[in-house]
Amino acid sequence: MSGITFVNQVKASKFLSGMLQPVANAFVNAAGYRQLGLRYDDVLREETDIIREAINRLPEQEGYERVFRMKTAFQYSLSHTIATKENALKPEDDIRYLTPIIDEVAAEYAEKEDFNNIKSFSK
Amino acid sequence: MLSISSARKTMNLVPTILKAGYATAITKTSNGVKVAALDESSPAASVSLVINAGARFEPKDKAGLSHFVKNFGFKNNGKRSAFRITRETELVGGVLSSDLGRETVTFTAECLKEDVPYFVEIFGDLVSQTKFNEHEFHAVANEVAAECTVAEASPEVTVIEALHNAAFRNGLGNPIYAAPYSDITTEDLRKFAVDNFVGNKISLVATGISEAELKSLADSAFSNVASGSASVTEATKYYGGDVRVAHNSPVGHVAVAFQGAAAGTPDFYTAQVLRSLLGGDRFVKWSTSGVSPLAAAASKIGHGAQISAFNFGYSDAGLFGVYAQADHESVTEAAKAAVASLKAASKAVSAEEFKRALAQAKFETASRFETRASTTEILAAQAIQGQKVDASESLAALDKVQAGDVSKLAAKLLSSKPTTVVLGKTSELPYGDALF
Repeated sequence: MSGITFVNQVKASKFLSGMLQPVANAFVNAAGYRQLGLRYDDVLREETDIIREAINRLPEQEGYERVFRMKTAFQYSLSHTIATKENALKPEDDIRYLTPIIDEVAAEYAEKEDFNNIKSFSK
Repeated sequence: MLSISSARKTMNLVPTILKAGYATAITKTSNGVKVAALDESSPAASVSLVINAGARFEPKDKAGLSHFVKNFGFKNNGKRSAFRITRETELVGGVLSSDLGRETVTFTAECLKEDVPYFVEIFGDLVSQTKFNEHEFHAVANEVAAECTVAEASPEVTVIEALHNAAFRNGLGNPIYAAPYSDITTEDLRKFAVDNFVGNKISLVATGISEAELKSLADSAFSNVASGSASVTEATKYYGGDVRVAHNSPVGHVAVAFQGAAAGTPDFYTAQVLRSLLGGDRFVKWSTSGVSPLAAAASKIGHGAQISAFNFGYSDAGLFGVYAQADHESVTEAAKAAVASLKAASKAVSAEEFKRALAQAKFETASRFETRASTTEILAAQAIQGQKVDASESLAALDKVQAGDVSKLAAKLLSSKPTTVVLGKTSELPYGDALF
């Protein structure tokens, strides 16, 4: 989904993660989705084939909870408020519940693309 | 192409096995996977993965589980996705199919000889690494429902299913097709796979490859499959009874069955001869009458009446009977004529009739070794029984049958409680006891 990433190197190094983690936290705060009760995976752009397929594959309960978080967020937005500190999503609850499924679907799409462009030779 | 055929086996399951006598032992891998191959000269090969996990082995509260297992073949596994399996099979020019019987689930690949190792590997992954994903389950459930609808629309399939159900109640009486109330989850499938996809329940049979070669392929492909324990089920008990199925069919169907013999027993071979003796098959295209009693009776009744005899053999039980289809006005007469032929055979069998019947039974047995599909079926049944019998040995077993045995067997059949199934406008169809 993305370009070059150094996330694993940063996570492995104490020095780098110590330096960058506060920046990341500040960025997430500024993004403000947790103040609406949402998870990071709730605000991923839904209008792609891959993510739509991934959402279809969510277990039933996860799907309901996702919709519920969104309804709550709309409510906050309509009433021009944000959640109080104790109602905002806690960092430890910001679980990537959709990302593993997205990766799986993306791998399947990539595989399909590869096969569609395959050249076959007789042995 | 991924083709799924399930109806094929329900109508014609006549494995040719011999329990005692000639048989040679079947090769096994270290974890119990049975391997059998017939290296014939044809350029194409076929490999089948046969798992002793048919409808018979379903837990009572999970009716239809095997049907789902059958349709979950070749889906995503730890090594390859379902898409990759399909595409790679297309690239090497293979055909995949799965088949469900009362005793076994069979996955088959037909391919060129050099691609056998690839498909054996696929089978190894299917057994040990199928993921049973939730999102695939929805597609599988739709396929299962569609196949059940097709089966329901076929009077023959309905009659055969009802016959087995009335004759054996559970075990062999379990329907092959999932029921509308089947309550199956991916969790059930995973558990069923853990219990049943084990070495001692698996056979790998192939045509077009030598047995030694197939064994070495199986050794590596199935190396991480647990050996588990062989199937233990209650011995099949024959009950018998009447079933009446209301159906909007223009033709009335009446089937009468009796307790037959298990496949491979001497009685089973005798029953094969009796089946040919009663006949009903047409051997000449467009012919309206044959020499056999059932064919003669059918042509006398006319109006497209069809009467035939059947002989189903399973590992520990069998069903032998007659099947009549005709207009509702004449189907009672046809069924009565069929039962009368069986009664006549129980009194005496003339030498001429016996000679014809024996020749037909032998031809049928021999010709089943001719095609790839039926050879695979024979090998599979033999692998499960643990003994191998070739065509000439089966023919020798038929040669042992005497005319006296045939009439004795017919009398024995008639002494068991009949199983009667009628399908059509039930108000116009006869009751079982009115046919004798």
